[in-house]
Amino acid sequence: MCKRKLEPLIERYFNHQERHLMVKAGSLLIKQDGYNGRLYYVLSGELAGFYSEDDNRPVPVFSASEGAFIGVHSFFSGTWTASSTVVAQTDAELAWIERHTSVVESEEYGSLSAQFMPVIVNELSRRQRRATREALAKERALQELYTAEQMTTLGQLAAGLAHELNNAISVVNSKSKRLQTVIMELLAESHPKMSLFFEQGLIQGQQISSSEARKRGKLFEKSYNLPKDLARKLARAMPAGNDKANVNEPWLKQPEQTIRFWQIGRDLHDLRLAAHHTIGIVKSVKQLGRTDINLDEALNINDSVIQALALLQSDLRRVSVQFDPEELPVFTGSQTELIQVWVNILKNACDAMVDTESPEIDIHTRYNKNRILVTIANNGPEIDEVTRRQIFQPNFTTKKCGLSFGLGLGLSIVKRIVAAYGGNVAVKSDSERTIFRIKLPAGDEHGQA
Amino acid sequence: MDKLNIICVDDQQEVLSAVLQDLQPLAQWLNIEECESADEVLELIEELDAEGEMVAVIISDHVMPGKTGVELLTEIASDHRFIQTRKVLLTGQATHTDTINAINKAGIDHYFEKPWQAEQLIECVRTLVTKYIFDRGLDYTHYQIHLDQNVVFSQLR
Repeated sequence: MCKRKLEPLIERYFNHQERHLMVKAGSLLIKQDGYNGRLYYVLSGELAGFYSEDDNRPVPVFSASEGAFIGVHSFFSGTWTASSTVVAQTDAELAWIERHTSVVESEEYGSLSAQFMPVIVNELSRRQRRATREALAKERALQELYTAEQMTTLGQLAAGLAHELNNAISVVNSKSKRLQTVIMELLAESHPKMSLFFEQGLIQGQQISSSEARKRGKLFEKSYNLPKDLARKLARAMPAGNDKANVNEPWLKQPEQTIRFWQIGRDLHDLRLAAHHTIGIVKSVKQLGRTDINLDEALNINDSVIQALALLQSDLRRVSVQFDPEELPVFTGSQTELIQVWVNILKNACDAMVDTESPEIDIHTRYNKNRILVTIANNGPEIDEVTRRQIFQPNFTTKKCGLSFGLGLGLSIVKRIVAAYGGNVAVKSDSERTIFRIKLPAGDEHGQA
Repeated sequence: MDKLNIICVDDQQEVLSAVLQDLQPLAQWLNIEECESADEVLELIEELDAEGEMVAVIISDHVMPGKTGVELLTEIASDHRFIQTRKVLLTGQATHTDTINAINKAGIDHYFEKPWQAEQLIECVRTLVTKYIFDRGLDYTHYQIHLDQNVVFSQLR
């Protein structure tokens, strides 16, 4: 409100020493729902209004400093009842008028309410603005709640899915182990000479790369006079170092047979490997979807990083990942939350490096002066300063288009979790590297089991 | 008769050997090569071309370190020596955009999702090799019993 316009009004009504009042900090001026027959004008100091419903904790509704009016509503509405409790926050000086104060120059300026019209309108619009602001804040809070709820639902869905998959893969895992034993027993009875080749495949799998197999195959073709196909198969199967073997080499006596049994072994080996891998992933997904977050698990930060890497296996396929862990003290916290932290940072790095020539991620863990330091660096594009400043804010995202849209919650979750452990997270970025540093306190308050 | 070449590429050895095993029935009349990366494929086709051999079909995974499957197939599609080579994408995790690129830029002939069915894979390769033989104007009678008879009939009509 234009103060200048009100000056004559202030002069007319609030310039009378007998209607001035000093209040001490903390003292009560008006009580909510109590009688108030005065209109106050703040000359100096700070006061605040509170509203409480059904004896609940009072909520601050306004603050008034020099130049503000207090009691506009109760005075001009004619109810003479205060809508809020007003308490002085500092020592304050007030001027007042009351219902019996005589109107000054009513012939020229009209009635009291006519003279105070600008003050009344201003109070109205102040209340209106406040209501709008609050409606917006409420809408935002609801939206955040809704998104959080969606995330929880997704997490629970994932956990349910993981549970089903876990049952299925456990069957694959245990039955393939059983098959392995049965085949071994059968072989020992019927083809004792072939057990060796089966076991070679089972224990080692295929150790020779496709290009090595091609080279070696050509060599075998010539030196053992074998057909191309058979030579290649033998090249895949025979352990390295046997290249100059003589004709008495057991692999070469009945090559078709040996390869057949080696392949059975290798297939079981691959089956077990795949089952093992699936179990690891399923376990991590279950961790992530857990709702019962246990904050005092004794855990190893390095393990949580490894679990996060396992979860992101498919995103990381085209990225060369270096993990350089240092021995760390036991950390007390939630495995689920920590995995969430690493997954969010790593996933962002993968997404950022889509167009990077040879994408790399370097992860270090260090322990120094009671602090665990985790550094996650990538060689993706630089994050400019404007983005960097907003990066940890909720609802900030750079992924707006396409199928892999973002919710803009990832890094704000990271920040919230890390802060809850009394740690901090920072980002640094230039054209060569983008580095996230996470510091977590270890030692007395956290860990050392 | 020359054995035509089929190249399979996947960075996971277990997957690669599973594909190879499924294609075994074709090994009696086709030479099946395996590679663990796109670069290895490029090296191999250079070598095969130098020896005067023909590459009929390439079956590629998409997500691999280094070049992706779509990048590899796009590169091969623009090489005039392999203009007739048929291209198959076998993948579990190509995005919408990847798939569009695979069709528009790499001109793939077939798209398989993991997990694949062995019979379908074999039939697809059989069909594509048959087409390749006619495209190159090779003498199909050398391979006749192995070929996709529907394609043969429609070519001869």
